[in-house]
Amino acid sequence: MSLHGQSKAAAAGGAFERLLVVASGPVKLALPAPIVQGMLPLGEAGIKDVATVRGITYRVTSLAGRWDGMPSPATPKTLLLLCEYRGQHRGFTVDKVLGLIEVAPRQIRLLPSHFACEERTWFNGFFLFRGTIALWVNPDWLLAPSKGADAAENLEDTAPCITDGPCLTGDIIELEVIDAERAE
Amino acid sequence: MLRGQSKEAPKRVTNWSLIVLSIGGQRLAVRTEEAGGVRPWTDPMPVPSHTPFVNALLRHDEEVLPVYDLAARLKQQARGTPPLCLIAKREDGMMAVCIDGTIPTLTTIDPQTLQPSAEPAPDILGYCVIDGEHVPLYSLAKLGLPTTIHAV
Repeated sequence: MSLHGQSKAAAAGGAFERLLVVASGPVKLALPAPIVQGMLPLGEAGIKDVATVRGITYRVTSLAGRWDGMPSPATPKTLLLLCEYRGQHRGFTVDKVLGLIEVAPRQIRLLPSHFACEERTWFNGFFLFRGTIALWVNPDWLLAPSKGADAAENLEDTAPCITDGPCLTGDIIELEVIDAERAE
Repeated sequence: MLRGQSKEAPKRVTNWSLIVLSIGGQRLAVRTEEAGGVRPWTDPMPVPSHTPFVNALLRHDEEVLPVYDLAARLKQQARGTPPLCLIAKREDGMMAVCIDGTIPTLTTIDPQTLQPSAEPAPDILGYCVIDGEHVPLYSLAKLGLPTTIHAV
């Protein structure tokens, strides 16, 4: 599973990045679609430290927590993104999914050089998105193993946990791309 | 023989043209040639960042500028609804700076009258007296460059 399928652009042989745009507080972020395995509405289950879905265990943090930002309080609309990249599994809570889009390389701009610290490794760049701007998240940073991280399997024994059983209030959302939106 | 001619011709002083503006009611001045203009402020998009005072992007149609939060550095908040956007021509690219909504004024000074800054901030060129008030003169070309960042 992942955000797979074939869009018109791909069918036409165009080189587009397929990105899932989400909101985390006031920040709009675009995640490479292939790393998103599914989305889970948290509902009343709330935010837990670990989620086990279809036998795969995901360490869960808020996406804002990835850069020491203030996570938004969980609401019934909070979504859990299940991500996998190079064998690392992580879950990230976000406030809202804004859309699945395809962005041509020429539309992606580098962060201005005025941003001179770690953030240059957090984002591959940005692009114009619906009257605002979306930051393209670098998956190498997003899913990098955190320092001193316990194995998720060990966490599962002790940490508050979601499993795909009675505490899930909604079904896993899997997306099949039919015709992704294009960025401006 | 030409008598009475001094060996050195008198130096011609070129006055500097300044924009005088305020942030949180605190007045400051910048050189006109280092400003790219003033326009209405629009909501910026926050960018997670560890670079001091650079933590947003401002979009104006197709143009996107990094935002330098001079108000935060001065421990002030820009006043006015809406505040204004000063375009700073920093030497590595333009930046947006949120300033008070009060329309900035223009003035000129003799650069030789500048008083040195007591603060070790290379982006403060000195202090000038405007309307009887000592006003810091900032260099927008060097504003917040890594060697000029203040510890807060």
